[in-house]
Amino acid sequence: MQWLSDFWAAYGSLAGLAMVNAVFALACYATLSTGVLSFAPVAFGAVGGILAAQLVLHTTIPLALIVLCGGMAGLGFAMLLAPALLRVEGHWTALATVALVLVTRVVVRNVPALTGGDNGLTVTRPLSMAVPVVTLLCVMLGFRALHHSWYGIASRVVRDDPAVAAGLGINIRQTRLIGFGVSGFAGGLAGVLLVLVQQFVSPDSFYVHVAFVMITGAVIGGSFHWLGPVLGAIAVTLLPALTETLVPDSQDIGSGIALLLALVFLPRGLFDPRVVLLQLSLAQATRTRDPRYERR
Amino acid sequence: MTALVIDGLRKTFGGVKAVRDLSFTIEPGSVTGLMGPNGAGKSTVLDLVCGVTKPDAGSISIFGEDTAGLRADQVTRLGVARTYQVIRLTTGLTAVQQVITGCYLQRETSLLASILQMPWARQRRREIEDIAMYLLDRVGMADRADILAEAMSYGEQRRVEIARALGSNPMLLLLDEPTAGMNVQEADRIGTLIQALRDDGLSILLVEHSMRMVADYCDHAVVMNFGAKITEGPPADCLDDEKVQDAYFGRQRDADSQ
Repeated sequence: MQWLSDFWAAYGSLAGLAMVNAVFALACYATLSTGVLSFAPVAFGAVGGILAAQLVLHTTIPLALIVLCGGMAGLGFAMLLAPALLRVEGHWTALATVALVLVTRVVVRNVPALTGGDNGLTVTRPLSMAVPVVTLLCVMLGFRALHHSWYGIASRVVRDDPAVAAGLGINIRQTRLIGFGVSGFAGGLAGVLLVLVQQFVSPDSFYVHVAFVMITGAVIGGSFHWLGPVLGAIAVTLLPALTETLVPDSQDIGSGIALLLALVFLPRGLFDPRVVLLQLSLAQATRTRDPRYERR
Repeated sequence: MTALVIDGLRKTFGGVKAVRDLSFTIEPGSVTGLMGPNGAGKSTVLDLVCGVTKPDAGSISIFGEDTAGLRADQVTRLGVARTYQVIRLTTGLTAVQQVITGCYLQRETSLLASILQMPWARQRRREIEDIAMYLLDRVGMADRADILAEAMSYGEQRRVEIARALGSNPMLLLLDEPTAGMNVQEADRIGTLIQALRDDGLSILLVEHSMRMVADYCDHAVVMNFGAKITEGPPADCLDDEKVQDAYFGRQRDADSQ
């Protein structure tokens, strides 16, 4: 078992970061699956993460409860912002959330009493790897349940064609608000995990690089099923480390190339259930097609 | 109660008067054909009825409820369902899943119960699947339930779209050229289905381009041209009307003067 602990010592923090990013990517997927591109999980994460840092420093609440509190804080913040963010249409929502990310950094820098300001806060609480692992698994189970729920079904139509969704009686705004709620909760959890894994929080913890990882994770992994962003975020986190060992000082080049390759060759991402389904359907369609209704 | 009352409806897009002072009614349990040449404003009327676009003037009431100020999804909740001139099914869903999306208004379970997969939510979900299968069977697509819609032929996609529209258990069904691009056999199957649905008590507005479909399957016809109603009445009378002939084929004297 020596090799395992050696491996963990060397790559444990990287594995932890991969799980954090997977939760962030899922938070991004939550709104994306209702047709809204949003980088707001970065801000939701900041709220959850800073609350968690304060709770760790000033209380002795068990970690599981702190993680949950961070999620709830993210959810609350999301429900506060979502009505405003949804007032603007389409791409403008995405731009508004980019602005939110920039505003978050300014706020974090200027409230040192809560955030430690530019110096940051050191959060020392020994962390068992079980915390990120269990959190990620719970979030994945949650997304699986959402996928099969009424919300999941409605969100697929809303994303594909909002006008059709309205024609089926689906309240588009309500569906997107739920998406933001889920995004807020997952984003808050991701923020807590980030603080716990890095044992440190500063204005740079929640900034554009998190947004970049989120969106590349969703694009590379695939944004048409909840498993896609998880795989994508893990790939995006591990890839720089991998390319670093092969070609030194090449971190971002690796993920840039991966993103380009994914956009060209896998426009719907690594994991797309539709690919298999389409092949099966085409095979079955030609086998069972009724000649009476063929167009002549 | 009258299924649909349209009164003095008017809609302008920029300088184009798409609908001008249109009025007509649909009696419950009847098939009304709304016909006219391309660009007559038929699809615009459908969008106005569904609340997708708002009229500049005039009123629409569905089973006695005025739809002014309602969003499209609220209009749907009054018991309206529609299909589209260009097929608009959701990508990546199988036929039965498409129809399940149409059953959204029949879900009857709270979001939380649905997410937590409570026993009653699972039970309702199975019932909805049964309803979806029944509707697919009605349109003759039961054997293709698990095939992705985009892998289907055009006529099959049309039928799935009708099944999806029936999912909300509507009282007023709006069909926008459901037989466009179909051959005669396929079109007749749709026509027979429309009459069967009417016999079940549905009121149907059939937007049609084809005179044959209106003559064979409608109880009442409204003919439009350039956004205005030119005539209405029993389909056979409408088709013989000189104004309708002019709208579709051009004026006889124009042909003579050539």
